[in-house]
Formats: sequence, C-alpha cells, structure tokens
Amino acid sequence: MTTRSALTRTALDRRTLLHGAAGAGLALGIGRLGGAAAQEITFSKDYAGTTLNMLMEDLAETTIIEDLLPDFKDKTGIDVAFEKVNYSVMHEKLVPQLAAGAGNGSYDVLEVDFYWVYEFARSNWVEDLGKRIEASNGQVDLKRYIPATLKINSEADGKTFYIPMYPYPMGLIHRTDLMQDKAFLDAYQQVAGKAMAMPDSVESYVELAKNVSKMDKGVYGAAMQAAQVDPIVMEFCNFLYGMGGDYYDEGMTKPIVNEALGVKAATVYADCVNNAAQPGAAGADLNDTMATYLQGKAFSMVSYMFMLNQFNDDPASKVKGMNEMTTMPGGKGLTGAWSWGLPISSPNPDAGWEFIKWVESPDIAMKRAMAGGVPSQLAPYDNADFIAKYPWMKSAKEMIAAGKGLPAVTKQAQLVEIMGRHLSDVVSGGATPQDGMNAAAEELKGLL
Amino acid sequence: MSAIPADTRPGRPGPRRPFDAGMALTHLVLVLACLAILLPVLWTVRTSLVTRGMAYDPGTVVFRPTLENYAKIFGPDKFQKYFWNSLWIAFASAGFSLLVGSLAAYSIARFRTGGQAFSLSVLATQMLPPVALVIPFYLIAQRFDLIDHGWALAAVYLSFNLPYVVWILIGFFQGIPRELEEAAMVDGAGRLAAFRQIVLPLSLPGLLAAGVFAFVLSWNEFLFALVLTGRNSKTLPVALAGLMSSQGNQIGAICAATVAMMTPIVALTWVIQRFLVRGLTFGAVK
Amino acid sequence: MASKQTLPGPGPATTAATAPAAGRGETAFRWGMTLPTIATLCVVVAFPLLFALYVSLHDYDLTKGGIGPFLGFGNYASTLTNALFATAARNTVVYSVSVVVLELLVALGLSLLLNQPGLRFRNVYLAILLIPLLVSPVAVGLIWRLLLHPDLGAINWMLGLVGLPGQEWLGGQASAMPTVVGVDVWHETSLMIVIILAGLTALPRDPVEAAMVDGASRWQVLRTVTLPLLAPVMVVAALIRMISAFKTYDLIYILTRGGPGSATETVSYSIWKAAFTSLEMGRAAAASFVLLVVILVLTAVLIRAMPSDG
Repeated sequence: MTTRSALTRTALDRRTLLHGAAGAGLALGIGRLGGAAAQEITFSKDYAGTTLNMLMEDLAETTIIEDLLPDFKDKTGIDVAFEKVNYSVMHEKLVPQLAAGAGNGSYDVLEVDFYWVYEFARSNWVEDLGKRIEASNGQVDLKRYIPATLKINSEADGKTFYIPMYPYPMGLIHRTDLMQDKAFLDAYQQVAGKAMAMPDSVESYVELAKNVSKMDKGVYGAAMQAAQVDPIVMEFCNFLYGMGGDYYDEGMTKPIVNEALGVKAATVYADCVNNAAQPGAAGADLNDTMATYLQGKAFSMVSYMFMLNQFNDDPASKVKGMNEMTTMPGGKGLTGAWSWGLPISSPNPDAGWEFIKWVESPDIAMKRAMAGGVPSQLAPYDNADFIAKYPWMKSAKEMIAAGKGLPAVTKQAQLVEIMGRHLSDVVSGGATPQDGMNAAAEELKGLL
Repeated sequence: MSAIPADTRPGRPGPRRPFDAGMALTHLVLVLACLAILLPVLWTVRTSLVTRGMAYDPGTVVFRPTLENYAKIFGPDKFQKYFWNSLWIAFASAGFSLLVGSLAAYSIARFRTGGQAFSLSVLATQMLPPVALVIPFYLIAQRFDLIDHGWALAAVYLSFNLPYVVWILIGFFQGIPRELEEAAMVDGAGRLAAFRQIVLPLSLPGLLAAGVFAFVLSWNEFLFALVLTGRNSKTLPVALAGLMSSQGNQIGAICAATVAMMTPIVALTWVIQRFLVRGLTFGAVK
Repeated sequence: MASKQTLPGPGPATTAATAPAAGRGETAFRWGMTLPTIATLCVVVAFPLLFALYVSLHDYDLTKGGIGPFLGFGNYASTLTNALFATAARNTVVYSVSVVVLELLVALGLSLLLNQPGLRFRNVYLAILLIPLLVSPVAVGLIWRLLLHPDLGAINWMLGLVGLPGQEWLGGQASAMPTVVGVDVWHETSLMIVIILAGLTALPRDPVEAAMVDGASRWQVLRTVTLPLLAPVMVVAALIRMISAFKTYDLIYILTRGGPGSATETVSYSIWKAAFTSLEMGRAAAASFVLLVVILVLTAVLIRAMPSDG
C-alpha cells in the first residue's frame, strides 16, 4: 500500500513537470492502469525510417513484444527487427560485438540477462542510463518496478545501467494431486512416520523428497538438474539462499561459501541429488529434468516460474493442472531477470532509447502482462483483470520480491562456471562437500 | 567380372558357390555396423514425428505420427533458407579449396616444393582452435562490413578447408606414376596440360574425397557461423542450435531439422559409390 | 593404371631425392602452382593468426577494454601452471588417442569389407554408414543426450528390455569420458571411411594382382601389399583426425560441459571457457598456441613414423 501511494504521488509530480516543460514531440495520453495515475509518454519522430536491430531470446516475452511493435512504428516511425536466438548462443554472439567498441556493433538495444550485469557494466560495454532517465522527466521511472528487480538487474556500482524487462523467479513446484491422494499420503506416513506437510526449510524439503523416493510409488521425490554448469548452480542457489547462505560476505571482501552454511548447503544439496532425485540427476540439465517432471515421475522440482505454465498447460504434460508453486522453503530463492540496455557499440542509441521508453511504458507493460508476460513493474500485480487471468501471479510477486540474484563480481559467468565444476564434483563423489567448497572458494577469491 | 577368386584361402569355397562363409561374415559385420549407425538415426526420425511428451516416453512403440515439427521448421522457422545457405556456402568453399589446393598439392607432391617445412606450415595454419581466431575474424568482418554475408563465411572456411584439401591431395598425387606425365610431356604437352589431362583424372577419387571432406566440415561448422552471420546468412547448425531454448529443447523440431540436414546424403552416397568404391583391392575389375 | 608403379611416397620428406633438378622456369612453375594457396591463406588466416599471437603476449581481458600491457610469456606461464590444465591435458590425450585409434581401425575394417568385389547391397551399407557425415555436432550432442537420458532415454530402456541395469552415462565420473568417446566414434567414423575408401580405390592394382597370382592368401595380400600401399593415406587420415580431435570443443560443450567435475574437461574446451566465460582472450590465445605446438610436434612425429619404402 505504501508503494502504491508513493507511486501515485511521484506520477503526479511528473505530470506537473511535463506540462511545465511542454516541449517538442507528440504527447500521448495513456489509459488508467489499475488505479495508478495516468502517465504521459512522449515519443520523438526524429528517428523515423531507422531500423533497430536487436538480439532477442526466442521466448514468449519476445513474441509478445513483437506483436505490439506496430504501435511503436505508429508512434515513432522506427522499424524494429528481432534476431531471435536461443539463450545458450547469446553471450557468444554478443561478446565480439560489444568488445568491438563505440558504434561498431550491429545491435542497437540489448536484452541483458542477470548473468551479465556487472560484466557488461564494468567493461564499459553499456551506457550509464542515469542521464537519459533524468532527462525523461519521469517517463522512465524506476519507482514503477519491484525493488528486487532493480537490485538484481538494473544497478551496478551505484549507477543505473539497465531498465528491468521481466523477472524469472525460482521456487518450489510440487504436485497438488499427490498431496490429495489418500494412498500416497498413507504410504508417506508409513515411510516417514509422520504426516506429509509442505516443508518450511530446505532441510525439511530434502527429508520429504527422500521419503517420497523411498516410497516405491514410481514417483521420485524431486526432479533435479545437477548437470554442469548453469543447471546445477541455478538449482543450488536456491538451496544456499534458502538456508541463509551466500557466496561472498556482505561487503564482498571474501568468499564464505566454504564456511559452515555453504558446506552444509552443499551437503544437503548432494544428499538431495543422490537420494531423492531421479537416476542420473547428476548429469541432467533443465531439459532432461523437465521431461521427468512432465512425465509425472516426480513429486517436486525446484525450478523457474515459466516451467509452471509449461507443466500446467503444455499438451505434452501428463500432469496438466496438477501443479503449484511456492517460495523456496526457507523463504529466499534465486530470481533471474532480463533487462534492457543500450550498448556503447549501438549504431542508433537515441532511437534505441525511444524503444526502451515505449516498451516499458505503463500501457505497453500492462499489455505485455495481459498477453502472458511476467511483469517487473508493480502496477499489473494490482490490476484485478491481470490477477483474475493469472491467479498464480499473486505469489509470483512475493517470490520476486524475496529473490536474490548473483553476487556483484565482474565475471558472474565465471563464478557460475567455478561453482558448477566444484558442485558437480561434490555431487558425483569426486570431492567431499568441505573440500569441494574450499576449492571453489579459492577460485572465487580470484574474481574479487 | 571376377578375374581372381575373391577368396583364395585353401579349403574355402569360391565365390560362385551358393554359400560363402567369408562373404556371410562380411555381411554380418556390415549389418551390425549399420545397425549401430541406424538405430539412433531411426530414433531421430521417430522423435521428429511425435509430440514432445512422447519423445521422452521410449516405451510407446505404436503412435500416430504428426508432421507438426516439420511444419514448424519449414514454416515459421524458414529452415529451407538456412538449408540453402549451408548448401551453397559449403559448396563454394569446398569447390574453391579444390581448385586452388590441388595445384599446391601437386607441386608439393611432385617437386617437394618448399620442403617439409612448407607443407607443415600449410597444415599448421589451421591447428589453432577456432576460438582463438573468432575474435579477429569478427573484427575484420565488422571493419569491412562483411557481417551476415554468406560468401565471407565461405572465405573463412577456406582457413581450414584449404590446408586439409592440400594434405589429402598430396597423398593421392604421390600415388600417380611420374612416367605417365613424362610420357605426356614427351608428346608435347606442357606441365600444366599434363597435370590437367593425366594427373587430375587419375586422382579423381582423391579429389572427391577431399571435396566431400571440405564440404562436410563446412556443412557442420558452428562457431564462425554463429558469430559471423545474422538473420540472412544463418546456416543450419546455427538455426538448429536456436531450437534449444532455456525453457526446454524443442527436441521434435531439432530431430526434424536433423533429418532435413541428412538428406544430401543421398547425393553424396551416389558420388562416393560411383567414384570411390570400385572393389579394386583384390584386383577384380579391369 | 601404369604397370611400373612406384610405391606411393611416404609423404613429402622422401620424394626429394627423386625430384628432377629444377631449372629456373621450372622453379617458377613449382612455386607458381602453390601461389594461389599461399595467397588465399594469407588473405584468410594471416591476420587472425598474427592477431592471436600478438594478444597471447598481452593482457587482453575483454572486460578491461582493449588490448592491455605486454606480458611476455605471462599468459603462457599461467596457462601451464593452472591446476586444471594438467587434468585437461590428460583428458585431451585420453580422448584424442581413443577416438583416433578406434575410428581409424573401425573405418579401415569397414572400408576393406565394403571394397570387396561383388559385394551385394553395397549402396545400402554405404548410404547408412555415411549418414552421420551430415549431422552437425550440435545435433549429434542433443540427440545423444535424448538417447542417453538415464531415466527416459531409449538406450537404458533397451538395456532394461534385456534385463540389464541402466547406466548413468554422462552423469558418472567414470562413465562420462567413455560415453563421449563412444558418441564421437559414432559421429566421426564415416569421415574416415570416405578417405580410406578413396585411398583403396586409388591403389595400383598390379602389386595386388601379382601377389594373388603368386598364391598369397587374402590376409597376406592385405598385410604385405595393401596396407603398406595404403599407409600414406592412413597417416594423412590419422593426422587430420588427430588435429580435429585436439580441437573438439562443441561436442563436449553440448554433452557434458567438461563435467561431471572435470572428468571430461579438455584443453580446447577450457580454451573456449577462457575466451567466452572468463573473457580472457590473451590467456585463451596463449593456451591455443600451446595446443598448436603440441599438435605440430605430434604431426612431425607421425610423419616421421610413416613406414618408408626404402
């Protein structure tokens, strides 16, 4: 409630400012959004005829935006061409471009994953957007966003480099049908010696999952993705954060992943992979794990929110409509987020900024949300139509708000690589949790 | 046909006998090898014809096939365009490598031009892992505005095709008897004419093998294609990698694309069968 | 073909003695023929190669913007002293030797079988055996991941049908490397078949026929005539395959990312990581040149080891 009133107040301030400035361009009234005050966003026609090239991940959010592009063309005369690729090739494709220097790239606007926040910012590959935000007189306003998304993928070293696009929180997905299945609950009671209840901590979750696997009901307690590099680390982050641990200390002075909490998290995690998950989990990636869950062969899975839609709606799913998602036991999980950035190598940064202004305007943000996107702005979550259409979004906001990203090191991808290698070693029996985390901490020191 | 019995070991039946144990064994081994290759391929074909749910359900043997994966890759995904890109880029690069490389290979094979150091340095140019070269390649392409031009990619592929082609051909040219060329030259043909009229026809198998080799390497190359192409000149491996998404692989579409990618094998097998296999080892055909 | 066939030379090294003395026009002709290749390679690889060499001697970390200070052999030293390098080097040797030896032997055996006169269904065999040629490593990796899924894959399912326990395949410390090698053999053997078949086809017939007339058995002909004649082509095939095995990173990337732990971490994959994960292009380039030197030495050794006709 406090955020809402704060939002309304600043929006009003902005309006006064805007009228005072009454500058060039075409002022466009935007409809009322979930009670928030109307907001006027102006667009420049100066860049009409320009084509903006963007490398986009080939996902629903991209298609949703693509469908709305005619509106942008109407307002600005700018064409937008999306080069849609899969996530795994994006970084390799961007790095040579970004390293090529000012104006030398071929992409005008970037879609930036939370993996690349510090890497891009500290390498001077992306523009500090502070001045542009200020000059927009509130047309681009960071107060419109869930604060956690700003921490995860917007600020770096006290400056604003990115505008949040959409978050993808992780949490615990589980099977609601089994929670109501008497035979299943009885069998659980027999194995565990107590009634089944949703876990309130990481340890109790692992215990529950192990018990389910012991039940011999053809259902594994957990579908897990312990394959190197990205899958195992994304999953482990939830265990580590859920238990209150972290990779580095508060002031980013030294790694703490080899201290008590980190080692305990690694121990519990390896126990879960080896004693609660499907066979071969140590080599399974998201795709393999998802297949196991879709086939109805697992009780739970720590995963991304977009997986929930897939499990509930995908024609390939054998567990359609039987799944629910909650915040990671322990109350904290990993939240990933995509943001918009302007590369220094952009040939048309000003036209690119017009695009960001447009795509993050409250009107378009609302349309994206209604079409199935996950909003990083607050307003859609207060919109009754949106919540009615996507009821699980209520808890999504909590997950996002309680989410943490990756530590503030320049080379976040390398952090993931280091952790992935050592965790995989621990899980597959190549090292004890203490030795594995010691070795990881040693390498993590080099990233500070 | 057979001037010499295929099997001359004492006590073994000749080739005209109804049962030939050696030949039966040959067939047995070949059938097993083919099965090892074919089973994963058939599974790929199966997966291309089922829904994603069934892709991970090996127990279901009877199913109603669907063409939706093919509809997807040849419809909205425009794989026919990438297929064509891959085809002409691989052809162009292999063709140019043969044209240029055969001359150098001949010179090295026949005259030992430049000595071992020279032939080794030709080969050494492609001993660096592609990762080390991709940034400078990108910088050049970007400087000269060659990003997303297919022929620039074909030229980059020369960096590994040409050395390989030269090396494969050296081996073959050395097998051509010098006397044949000398005879032609005595008849008044120049060196180049002797090369064209005698050496090239005789080393057709080598040329084809080298050509196939270069074609296949280009057809499958991924990293340079990823970094140097864009929407227009994208090749099949890059387009195929695009079907792995962070929300799960579109395994059916990947398999459909793989099946499409295999189709030139028909033409390739014809070429190889026609020119590379003549049953010559045991001197059967005159 | 000719009746008085000189045996194929064992590579560039030994033909020199028989090369006729060259006049000036002759020399021009010889070098003239190599000129297009030299020119093409200069245009295509000279700059990237020199660039890579240059940055291997400098601090070139992409996150620091531009090429940094001269380091001398600092990048080389840090490559060689990196704890992971020893593991990666050992894995690379295991992987490369396994795939080269296995693929060469399998391809040789199958080629000899395919090349028998009067073999029926040859077209069919060939067409099938050559299919993997046109499947890109990315697809090979993804399809084998599907087949090897420990829980839902076709291979463990088939093992289950005959009563064998399912395996972990890519997820086990001990099983990951053999699995990767197996997938590679499935994929790359056909390329070796093409080269060896071509080599067999180009062989002179007379020595074989002469041996046959002398009453040699098939096995004797193979051992004493065919294989020695085939040696140059075999060596070239081994050489080319060895070089590409040392450079393989895409299959590892898709199948295991070097895991579990560092069980399948190879030098070329760690170079990929240095470049695209750590963004340390200088170190990646230095490691690449270390790899180049190793390959070059092995190549020279292999050429020397080639059976000579004298």
